[in-house]
Amino acid sequence: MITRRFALLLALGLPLPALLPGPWLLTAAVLGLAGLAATLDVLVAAPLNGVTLRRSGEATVWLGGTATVTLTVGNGSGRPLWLRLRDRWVPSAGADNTEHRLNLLPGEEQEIITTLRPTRHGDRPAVRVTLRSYGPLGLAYRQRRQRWDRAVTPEATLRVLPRFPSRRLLPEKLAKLRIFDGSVVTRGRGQGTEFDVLREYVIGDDVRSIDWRASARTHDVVVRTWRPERDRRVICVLDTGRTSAARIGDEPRLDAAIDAALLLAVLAAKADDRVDLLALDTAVRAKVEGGGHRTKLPRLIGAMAALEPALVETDFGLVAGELLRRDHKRSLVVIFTALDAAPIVEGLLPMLSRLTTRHRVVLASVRDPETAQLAQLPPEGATAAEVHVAAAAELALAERGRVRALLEQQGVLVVDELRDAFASKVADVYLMLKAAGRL
Amino acid sequence: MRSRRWWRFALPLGVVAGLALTTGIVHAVEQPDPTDASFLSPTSDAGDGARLLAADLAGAGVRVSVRTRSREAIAEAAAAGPVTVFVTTPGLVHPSSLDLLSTLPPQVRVVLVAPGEDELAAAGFDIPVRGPRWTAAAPQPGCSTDFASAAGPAAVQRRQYGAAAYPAVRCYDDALVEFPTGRATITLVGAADPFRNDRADEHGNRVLARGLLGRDPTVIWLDLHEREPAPDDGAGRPNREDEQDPGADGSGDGQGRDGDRSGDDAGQDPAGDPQDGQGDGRGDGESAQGGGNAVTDSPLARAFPPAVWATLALLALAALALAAASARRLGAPVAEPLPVRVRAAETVRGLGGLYQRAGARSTSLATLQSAARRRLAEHYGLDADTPTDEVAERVAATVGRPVVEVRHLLGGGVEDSDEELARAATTVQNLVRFVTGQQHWQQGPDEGNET
Repeated sequence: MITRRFALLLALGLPLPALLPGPWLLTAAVLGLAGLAATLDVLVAAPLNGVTLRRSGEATVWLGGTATVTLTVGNGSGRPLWLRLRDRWVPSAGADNTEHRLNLLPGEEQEIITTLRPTRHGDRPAVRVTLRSYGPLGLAYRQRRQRWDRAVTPEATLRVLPRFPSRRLLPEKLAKLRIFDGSVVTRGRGQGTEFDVLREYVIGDDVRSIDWRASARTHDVVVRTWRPERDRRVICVLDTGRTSAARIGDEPRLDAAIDAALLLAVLAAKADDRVDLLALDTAVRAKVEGGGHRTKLPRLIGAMAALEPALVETDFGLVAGELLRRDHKRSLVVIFTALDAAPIVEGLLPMLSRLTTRHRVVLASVRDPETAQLAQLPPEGATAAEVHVAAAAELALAERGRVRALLEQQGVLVVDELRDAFASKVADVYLMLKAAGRL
Repeated sequence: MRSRRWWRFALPLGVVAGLALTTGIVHAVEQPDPTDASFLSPTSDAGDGARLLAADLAGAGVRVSVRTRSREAIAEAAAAGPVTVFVTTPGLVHPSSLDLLSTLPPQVRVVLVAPGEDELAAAGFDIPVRGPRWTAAAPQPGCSTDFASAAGPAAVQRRQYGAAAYPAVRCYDDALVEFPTGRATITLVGAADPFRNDRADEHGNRVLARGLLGRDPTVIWLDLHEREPAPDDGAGRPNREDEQDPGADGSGDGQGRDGDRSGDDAGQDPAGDPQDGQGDGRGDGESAQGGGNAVTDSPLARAFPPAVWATLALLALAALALAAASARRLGAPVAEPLPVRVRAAETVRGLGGLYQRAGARSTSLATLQSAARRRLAEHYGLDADTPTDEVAERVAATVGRPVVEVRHLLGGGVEDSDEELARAATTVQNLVRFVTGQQHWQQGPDEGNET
């Protein structure tokens, strides 16, 4: 294929037919010479088959951070290589400079460093590296078809983890956890505690916790110690259906849910509980269960990274199907969804009674401040349109209130909070339940 | 700010450019069109016709013979004695006929109306032309010919002819030039205005036109309004012998002359061709008509020398190469599905819009009032389904207003105008805000109860 330089060459030949005799012959001569030069150029250009590509670099990054990925280009052909290449990522990967020019001697290797600033969470793949090998004159180049380029492109996917702004709440929540850990130790047995170890009695211990049978077996007085229950089960159910696509402020409801679920998961993992994840709309989008404590959190975060809202109605029957399996122990089920009347009343309510008999259910929904704002008219100067919208907003609020009342009637804990306090509130509910031993 | 500055710069320029454009278009439209049937036609009463002139000539005893084919006119002129050939539209006459004009016998005068340089060149004269001016000017005659001195100033100066090379009589600042050739006398008039009906009475136009054309007992008026085909057309073959055909219609004398001339033509042209080059395209083409292929024979191809075409071809190829080089991308752009975006309060707004379109004022107001009652009841610690009267009593006690008024506010009837609805709804909400949160809403009860 020719370059612009070829066109320039033709343009430079323009005066010849204009000034010298035999214009048509000269035109043909200019064209022929340029064509010959271009042909030679493309023949001399290094073959693309000899180019080797390798990629290394970061594989995961938190949303908002930057990742650097290195592409190593080698010249395996026996000729010098004048290469222009474009390293294409999906647009949301936020690659900074995609186009590069390299001059490689035979056997030489060079590194191209691409900085990625992803704009969305999920998997952000590198799509293709397009190669173009120029001849020494720069009149023509070799470039293969897209399919070939895609085939030689080394696989690379950057996993962008979702934003986790409530990370900053973690120390506070963990402190709370420790406080009631301590209070359990001093309080002794009760709801939400389990037997830990036997140890010698020291002055100040509750005499009621002396284990007389164990004391009889040893020479000392032995007391039982208690600790908060462990290995409780927490299941985060993320609704990725249409209601999760609604934007609360600047982000979809799903992102707020992911943030809160992450906080809950980290907290529960620290408290030695088992956290499972179930994300679904019309099908199960992500499912994380089982596995060791240590690998659990990374798995959870990775699974949540790939979640995207879908414009479909969530099938809560799937939730019931998953949670009512016989081997499922009693768990804390936190359903992250929206407190909208239609999907809850028609989808969730019918199977709620069966769920609540086996599990403790919490329904967490980010409240949309806009509806409440719309319901409020300005003190003066309102228009009829605003009044109608306010009435519609009041209806929506009333409906939400009714749904909430219905859910609470069924024994469901409802968390309906604004975005700022949402994750914190969900964590508080968990801590409260754990402290009360109602997990 | 920047855009305003830009406008301040662009607006006056735009207005001026618009005015200039409009003027240009209007002027172009106003120009008489030689291809109009009325243009300098001896039978037309239209503004650009010349019926007045024809009548004047007839009145002066001049015989007017109207011809619509140049060859016929030439043949007649060649046959007749002293005669004036009046060519109104030299631009439409076929070049080969123009060439014949100067070969007419010496007693013939040929009057050409506003010929351009091309026409003059085709007729075999090397006369530079200046103009055309925007409109015809009417200078003083500046010469002593009888027609000019009789007429005085006349509107002939649109084009000016630099006939310095000929022993010419030059009048009206070179706008009217008369010069003898070896044979016929040629008169070039710089504008059509003196002959037109609507300009006849301006300056000395009428006198000049009559004087110019009334010098011979006969005027052969070539009234031509479409581009003439090659005179050989009728015979089918561009043959030199056939060219005599139009002449055959006239008389034997003309026929012989025609034949002579065309013989000259054929002999001269190939010789004249190379040195003329670009200038004399028509002569060139005429000689090529016998041989060459269709493409190189087209008038456009003959208009420029091959060097121009070759350069243009190379330029086109270079442009094509540039387009091809730019067209190949370094990999196609990558597509990616966008995430779904739904505004949170979309359904609320939609429902509000539906209410408004349906004109459901009473429904909207009732919804807001029931919400207000619920909040008030909650505030007073009453049940949610407390009757309106009870709530109204409590509110009236707090606000210090009659119970009836508050009751109307909280459970009032249908409003039939948008203004009423807006006022009622605002009042209800203000009331609730006042009752439930005085410390936040610094509003007096007066404001809350203005109905």
